[in-house]
Amino acid sequence: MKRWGMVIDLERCIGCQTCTMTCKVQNSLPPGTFWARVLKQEIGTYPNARMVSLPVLCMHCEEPPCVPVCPTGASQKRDDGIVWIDYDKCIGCRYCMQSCPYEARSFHAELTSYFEEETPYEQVTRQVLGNGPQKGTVSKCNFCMDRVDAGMNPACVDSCLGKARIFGDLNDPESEVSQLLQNREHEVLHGEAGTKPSVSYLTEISPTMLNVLLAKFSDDDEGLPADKPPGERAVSAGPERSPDPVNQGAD
Amino acid sequence: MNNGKRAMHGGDAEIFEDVTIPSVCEICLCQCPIVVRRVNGVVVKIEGNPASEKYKGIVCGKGVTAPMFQDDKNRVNFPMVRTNPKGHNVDPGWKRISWEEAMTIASEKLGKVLEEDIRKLVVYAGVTPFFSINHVMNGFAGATGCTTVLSGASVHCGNSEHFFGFSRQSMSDNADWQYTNFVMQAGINMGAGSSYRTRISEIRAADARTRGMKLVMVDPIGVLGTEIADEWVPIVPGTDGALFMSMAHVLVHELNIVDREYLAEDTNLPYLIGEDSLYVRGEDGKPMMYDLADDSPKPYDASFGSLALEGTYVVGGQTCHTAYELLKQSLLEWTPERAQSATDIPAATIRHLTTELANAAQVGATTVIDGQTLRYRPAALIGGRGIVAHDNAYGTWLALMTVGELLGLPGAVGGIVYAGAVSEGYKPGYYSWDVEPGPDGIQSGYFYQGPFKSPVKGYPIDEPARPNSIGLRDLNPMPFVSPLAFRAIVNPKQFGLDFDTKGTFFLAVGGNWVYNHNSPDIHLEAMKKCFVVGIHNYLNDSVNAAADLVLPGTTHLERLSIPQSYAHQYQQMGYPGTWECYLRQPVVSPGYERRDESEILIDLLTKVGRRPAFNQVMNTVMALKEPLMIKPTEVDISWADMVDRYCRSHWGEDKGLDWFKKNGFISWPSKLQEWYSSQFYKAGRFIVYYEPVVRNGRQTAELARKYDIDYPVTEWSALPYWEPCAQCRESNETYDMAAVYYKHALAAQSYGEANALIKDVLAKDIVMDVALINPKAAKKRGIKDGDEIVIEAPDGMSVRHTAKLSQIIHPRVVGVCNGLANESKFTPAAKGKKFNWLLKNDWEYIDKIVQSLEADRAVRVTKAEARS
Amino acid sequence: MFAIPKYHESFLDTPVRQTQWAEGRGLLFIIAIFLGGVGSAAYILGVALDLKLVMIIGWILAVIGKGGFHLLFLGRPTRVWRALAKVRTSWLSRGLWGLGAFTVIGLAYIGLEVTESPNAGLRQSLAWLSVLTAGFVMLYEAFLLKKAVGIPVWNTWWMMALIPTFSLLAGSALVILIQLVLIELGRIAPDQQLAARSTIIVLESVTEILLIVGALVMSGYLARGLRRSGAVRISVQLLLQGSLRAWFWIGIVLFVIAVPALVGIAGGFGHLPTGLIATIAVLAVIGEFAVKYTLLASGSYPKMYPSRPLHRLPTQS
Repeated sequence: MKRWGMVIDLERCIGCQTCTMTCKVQNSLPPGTFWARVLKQEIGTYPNARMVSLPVLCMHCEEPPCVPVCPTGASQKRDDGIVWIDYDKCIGCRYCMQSCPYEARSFHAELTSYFEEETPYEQVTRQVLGNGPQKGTVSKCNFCMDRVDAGMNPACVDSCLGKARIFGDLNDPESEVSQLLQNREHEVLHGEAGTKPSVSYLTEISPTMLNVLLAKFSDDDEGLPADKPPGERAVSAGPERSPDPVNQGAD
Repeated sequence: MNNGKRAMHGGDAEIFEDVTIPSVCEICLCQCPIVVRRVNGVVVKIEGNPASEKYKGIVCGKGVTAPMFQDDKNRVNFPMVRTNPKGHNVDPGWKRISWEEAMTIASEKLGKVLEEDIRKLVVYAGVTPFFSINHVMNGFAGATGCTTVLSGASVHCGNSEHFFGFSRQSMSDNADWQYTNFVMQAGINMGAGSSYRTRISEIRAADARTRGMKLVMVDPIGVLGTEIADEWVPIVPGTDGALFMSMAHVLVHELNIVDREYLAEDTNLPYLIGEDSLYVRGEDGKPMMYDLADDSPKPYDASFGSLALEGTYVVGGQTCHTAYELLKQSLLEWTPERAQSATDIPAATIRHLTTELANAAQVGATTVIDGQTLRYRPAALIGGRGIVAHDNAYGTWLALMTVGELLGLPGAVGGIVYAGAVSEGYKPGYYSWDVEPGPDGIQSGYFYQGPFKSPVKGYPIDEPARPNSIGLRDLNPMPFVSPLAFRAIVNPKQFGLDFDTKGTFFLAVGGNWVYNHNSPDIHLEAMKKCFVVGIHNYLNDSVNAAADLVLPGTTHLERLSIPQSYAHQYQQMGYPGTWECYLRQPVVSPGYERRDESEILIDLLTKVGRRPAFNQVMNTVMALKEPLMIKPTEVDISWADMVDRYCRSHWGEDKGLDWFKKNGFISWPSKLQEWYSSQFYKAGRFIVYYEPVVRNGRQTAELARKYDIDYPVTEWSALPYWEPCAQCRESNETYDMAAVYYKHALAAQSYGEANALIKDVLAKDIVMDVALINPKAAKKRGIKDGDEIVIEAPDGMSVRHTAKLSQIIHPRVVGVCNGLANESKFTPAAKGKKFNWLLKNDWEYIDKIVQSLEADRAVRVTKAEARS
Repeated sequence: MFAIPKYHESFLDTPVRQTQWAEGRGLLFIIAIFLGGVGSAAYILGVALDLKLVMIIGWILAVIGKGGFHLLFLGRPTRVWRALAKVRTSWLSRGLWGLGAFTVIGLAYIGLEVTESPNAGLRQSLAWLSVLTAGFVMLYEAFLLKKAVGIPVWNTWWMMALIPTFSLLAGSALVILIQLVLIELGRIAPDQQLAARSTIIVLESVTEILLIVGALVMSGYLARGLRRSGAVRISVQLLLQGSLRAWFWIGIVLFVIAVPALVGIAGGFGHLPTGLIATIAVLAVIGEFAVKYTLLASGSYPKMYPSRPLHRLPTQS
């Protein structure tokens, strides 16, 4: 049995909010609703400061705290690990929202539109394609399960500008997600809550780690193929690299 | 189980159409290939075209939101005529009229100008339309003989970088991400989702980071780039030139790491320069170099036993130096300590950055790709508009380039790339760019095909002439677009124009032409002298303030056009990689009374009797070949027919419009010699010592004196330099901060406030729609997070904004997110606060050589309540 | 003033306040659990003190009031029956079952009492059963909150003490109020008035004990919060220093604890005029609303970024 999961490589995320916008369009989300977001925060103090981005979405937990608290069974987990909401069963009590530490859920007292009347885009996506939430119920990311069932990736994965999101079967040790989790340092959010998220974050690579990785890949010539530069491979551009003696100080 | 869908609504839920159609995005300059999903005649989804190797199936957060804009309630749907006077923040009193009435009004006004004085015709294109309907706009200008084509593009961003880019057959620079190990970028956030020309860099930069590339970011504001940068170097705005000068100093005078072989063989730095700062020419008029082997000067194309890169010589009784010698001398005083006082970057940091760059460059190294031995310099120093949005832009960009040149980075594997310099074409003879030898042994290149010569030719640079057009590109041909054109409409005599500009026909296709530059008052005054026709797809502040007639245009999802080859100039294909040429096709019909801009322009030309001329011009603009060339008599040929002929002309009979509509784009593999063209095409040397600029400066000064033109010309330099910009000069104890604007990809180019989905994000993102200020600076002024602040320039102009305290901004800087430039209460989509009111259209704030604008300002920042 | 953003208000990664059970229509949820707490407590006291009217009022508040406001709060009230489904896992489902049980059993017992049924055994059994179900209605909210792992400040056993203590406190105050009103309206026969007065004295003692317990429990809850970091501490700070501080200091500390405590120190309700006692009782009931409101409205989600850095630290030489 598959267990769908996502790996987000923070080394590659550029914080552009393309996932945020793609998700909105894919799922015809009403104003103010975001199933996927990129959270930002500053770390450090001037001048040693930087902005860091943390893309968040429903973590599709293996032990989803939102599911047992749902009084109707609307929130549920599929056999393949996707946690989703059957809108027709949801009564809008919002207990699941208080139980999700990932702020992944939104409630829709009214199904609002961006203008006074629904635009044709909203009409067709909502009424013909059946996208988007239902009035009076709670909604959240469902890993684009229509797309996944059709053999595609979630929309945020395909649209990611830095290709920071990788989607696949966590139960398959050969899948890219499993491989990345085996080979890269990673972390989940709110691991202390015991939720066992299916979304993991590859931490940014420290120079030390990079050397470890490169040593590993240089053992077998298969590793990091496309990225390998020609010529003598330069590992980390830094002052410690000795300059090529050719043509130096010729005068 | 309902499979995660909401309950369907009974009978209207039938899907009678569900198709995907390839096309091209147009919301910024990246022009990404997309696939559009259309259901029941409505666009429901946009994704990057996964078939594109070059773009790798991506389109940004702005591009994907286009379905929401399609039926935005604020779009222009009918022709409308103004009934109230022009002015800032006024009700235009739009009155709906028929297309026939509208075209009659427009053609009468245009016809009058064509008859009386063609110089009174100005065509203006917003940034993105400029790239979208470029062919017909060129055709329009060509058929009418229009001498002034203006654009929102370049004035703010690129007058300097384009000028230098053109001399490398490119719009600008980028890093060779596929192979680089170290990138230092200043004033731009390549790879970080910033405004433009970055889309295909992002994934490549991400690959490089995963590989271990180090990225250094030099910028006063770090909120939009430090996500990916390994090191952020905050700098005082407008002082980047000082940084580059000192980096060059460290290379030449401290580290002694210089790619002498490259400089000697591939640049004009060995040319001998006389005391007049011009080339020392031989009897045949050719610039000379010095041969140490036989101790004599020789023409550049002679054979040399031992070429002198540096030194001082006496030639024909005149003392002269090599250009490199002059450069070296000019760098002598530029110690990092000197730069530190201007830039606020510690001298030690400058030294360590330069050392890292120099070491990473591996001067002297080569690599072998596909059996070819190539210069390998896996390090890049690249710049963007942030460093040249100042009145010292020319010297600053030249200093930036010089650092790269000293290390031999341009055109090297892993170094600095100049995009799409050479294309050998799909098939020989088709669709190609080229380099060719220019005069004086300097490489020249095509940049731009059309009825005009290139707007700014790479080399030789056009010579100055007496002003005869509102565009003002006669007196100084170096700027891509002159920011003074609007001022010239207001006061033509000031610029030596001998005709009255009253009654100028100003045709704008998109853009926010009153407000997106500086001094909106001057721009509005100019518009009051003109009859303004705007073709727009939504009402913005400029249309509301100043258009006499507005015609409903289309979005990129409703339009047929050939995305300009600019995409190749900006969006490099890399090696290995692919060339790709796309078609933008209407995915849905425009609806209401909206019309394709190209068709509107063609109709207008037909009405004024210029259709035959247009047909002829288009043969050149579209480079049509027989038997597909358009005859002057074929006045009924549609725009779609013309595009079909274009496709067949370039790609063969079987690849007409229908083929492109089905397939979206055509691609073919790039070649090694195309990507690293300068290492293969020896069409001449790169210009590094800009000798023609000295000549042009003298001529411009002479003309200005002769015709009493307001053009303050001092001696222009062929060498890099830095001097304080207007903001630095204006800064004092009271006006002690620099107000700078920055652009978030989502918020840039007005689309952020025009699209309801993006507006939704703007309200939540922490760096959009705010004024950033360092907590130290804020504390000193009693400002807290969320306070309303007043940012006031010395001349009293001010803007108000909401303060957002940030550690990632230089304490002397207040940073305003400025994609949002509409604020009139009569503009439904308005959201923003106009930073541009702070900026001035005045020589004091404009680079005299390349006419880049000072886009920052010395200001004082106070809490709003603290003031009366 | 100490403040944090609301849920989904910005893309800044900070702790955020929950709004769904506190703001706008979310107030209906708080009213519901307030009425449920006061009503069920009053019912229990009514049974214990054999006060029929109190039982009836308690039942009405807990069943009609709580149930009604819960229904009004739901996004899809017509589907409420679906909430019976997951009694095995969801405290909300269990609460609904409990309320249903109390509705039936409480009503049956009230019926027996009103009709003065001679079946003492049945009355006794139903009395116990109804008190148990009422107790469940009062207490299940504590489990409900404890299991909401998104809001860590709620995930504590202190809830088990906080919720019933203050519910009983308010219930007790409500009973005093009812009794006073009945006396004032002359609805209590003169020969019964002394008994009614003594009931008030008993309840006064109960109240005094509960307020001491309540003060201790609340202090424990707050101290736990202040000892923790992150969202738990922030939630408590919102109570003490943030936008909820007026509710806390006036509604809880002053109305529920300080005023009754002062009265207790001064020698008890017996010495006070009826109007003042009634006022104190009303304040205590309002105070219970403040307890429920502040407990819920201060609920905050933790920030998302983990304690272990995922990103390189910024460097600049």
